[in-house]
Amino acid sequence: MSKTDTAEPGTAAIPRIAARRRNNGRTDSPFWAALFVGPNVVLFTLFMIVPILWGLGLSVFDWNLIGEPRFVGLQNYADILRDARALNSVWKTVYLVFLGVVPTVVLSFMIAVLINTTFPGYTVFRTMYLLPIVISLVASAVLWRFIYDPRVGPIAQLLSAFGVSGPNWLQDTTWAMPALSLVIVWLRLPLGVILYLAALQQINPQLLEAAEIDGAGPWAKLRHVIWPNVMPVTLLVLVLTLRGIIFDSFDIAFVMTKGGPLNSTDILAVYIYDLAFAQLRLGYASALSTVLFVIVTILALIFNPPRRRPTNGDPV
Amino acid sequence: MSAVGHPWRRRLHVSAVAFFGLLMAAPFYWMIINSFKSSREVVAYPPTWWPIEWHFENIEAALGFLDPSAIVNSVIFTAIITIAQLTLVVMTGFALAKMHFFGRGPLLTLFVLTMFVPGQVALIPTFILIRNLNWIDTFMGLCIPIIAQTSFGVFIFRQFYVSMPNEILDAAKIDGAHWGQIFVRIVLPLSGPPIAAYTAVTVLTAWNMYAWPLIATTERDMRVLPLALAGLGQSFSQTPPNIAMMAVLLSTLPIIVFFIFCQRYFINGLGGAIKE
Repeated sequence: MSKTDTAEPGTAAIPRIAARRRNNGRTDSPFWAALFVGPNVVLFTLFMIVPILWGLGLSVFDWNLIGEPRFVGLQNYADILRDARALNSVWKTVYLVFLGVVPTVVLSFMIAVLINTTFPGYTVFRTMYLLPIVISLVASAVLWRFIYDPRVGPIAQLLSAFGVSGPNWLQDTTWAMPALSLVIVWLRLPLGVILYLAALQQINPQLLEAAEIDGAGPWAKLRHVIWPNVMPVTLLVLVLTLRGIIFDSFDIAFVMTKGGPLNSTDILAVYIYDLAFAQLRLGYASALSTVLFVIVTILALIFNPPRRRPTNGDPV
Repeated sequence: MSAVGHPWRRRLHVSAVAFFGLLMAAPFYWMIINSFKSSREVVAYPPTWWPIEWHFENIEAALGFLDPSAIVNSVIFTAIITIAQLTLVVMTGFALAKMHFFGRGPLLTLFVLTMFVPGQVALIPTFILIRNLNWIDTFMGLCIPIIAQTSFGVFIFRQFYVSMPNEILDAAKIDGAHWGQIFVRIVLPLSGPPIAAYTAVTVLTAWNMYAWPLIATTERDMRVLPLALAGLGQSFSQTPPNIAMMAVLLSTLPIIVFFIFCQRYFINGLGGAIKE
């Protein structure tokens, strides 16, 4: 800011600059700041900050929405350790995250490398890769329930063409979770592909030429030039996918399996919903939400340890 | 990867792009062909890969299941959230980037920190809050808590405005413009790309939102589309799959069209997040 002050001061403007300097030292007029920030801060405080803190507070109470909340201290947290369904759902959540995050990152990188090209009609195909970004979780859940149908679904049909008789995907305790994660990967791939494509297009072509001159084949270029260069994006995709899966998995699991069969897809979000809105155990549900929050934080730290500065301008 | 190389390698590459692209789009293909099959054909074994007859009357039947009020509600819900949230995040993002005021740093930290708090933590208290306000089954209850989820947008716009040169604003300030004029006349006209990108993403998110409307509404005529759709997913015995597929297609179609026309903004907006 101060650079321009001295760079081209028209003589007539000098008094004004001086006036502005005084006014501009540390703070602007509070009126404009309040106008720009105020409405958002009020809404954000009332409907984000207060509920988050309230949720944390609620986790040390026992409350069924109707009676008086009863303070129980850390009892809810102690109960979690004795609740087999809670422990199962913690495990299922972590399992779903790993089943979802790793393939999403690997596949979106591979697809981005594959489609980082151009040929006549290319945009039509690129649209195909990005299309799942538009479909809602619920719509895709309905669609994939039908695709997974063991009798008239296309997957069963293709498998039987090879003489394999597939399981009843969503009714099988082993296969239900991988089946859900396939839907989630399919839904989350486009974002990863878009981010990787942008990163690939930023790689200096001279780097690739230099590698080629040094005799690097396609694989060596991929491994030693491209992959290290898109590393920051890999971290970004990891964390965004993690966030997406934790936030979105409720819709998919709730519509496709309702946590079944035999609690094999009973992730935390589904169990919390059941506790809070079916069983009205609000305190206990809040304690589990807090556990979910801790898990997200731990997973985010595992995937993206804060050893480097966040990628440019990015939230994560 | 390499545009050069043997012609057959090039051909192989193009084929691979086409093959995997078709694979990604295959579920959409399955949705479309099945939404036009007859109720008998859609459950016939073995399944057909192309409808024997195209049943356009399925459209009408599916609209009956979706019910028009859900469509209207979804449009209103999406419009309110997009407009209100966009207004809030653009202004807050700008202020956090360019204005100097008391508490700016802590405020930014607050927005960043809440970005990774899972929705479930706030969900239960938000429900209690809405219930105590008597906002269940109202648009206020549906929209306000979602509008308040501004942390992500605030951050995106703050980053955008941080990289906007101060010289532009200084010139206007020298001419005696106040912040309101600077914002409307100079800043907004330069904010087209991020606004387009954020609008695209927000429309998508709001149109597809399920968990909050599920909790905040109980009456049938307050439902949004995903709620109406979810009912169809529970059992194909109540809704024939061809009608369910048509309902999915109809509810997704507006957003597919929107996406195809705004694809550029999605890609620039989302991809632009990592440039700089």
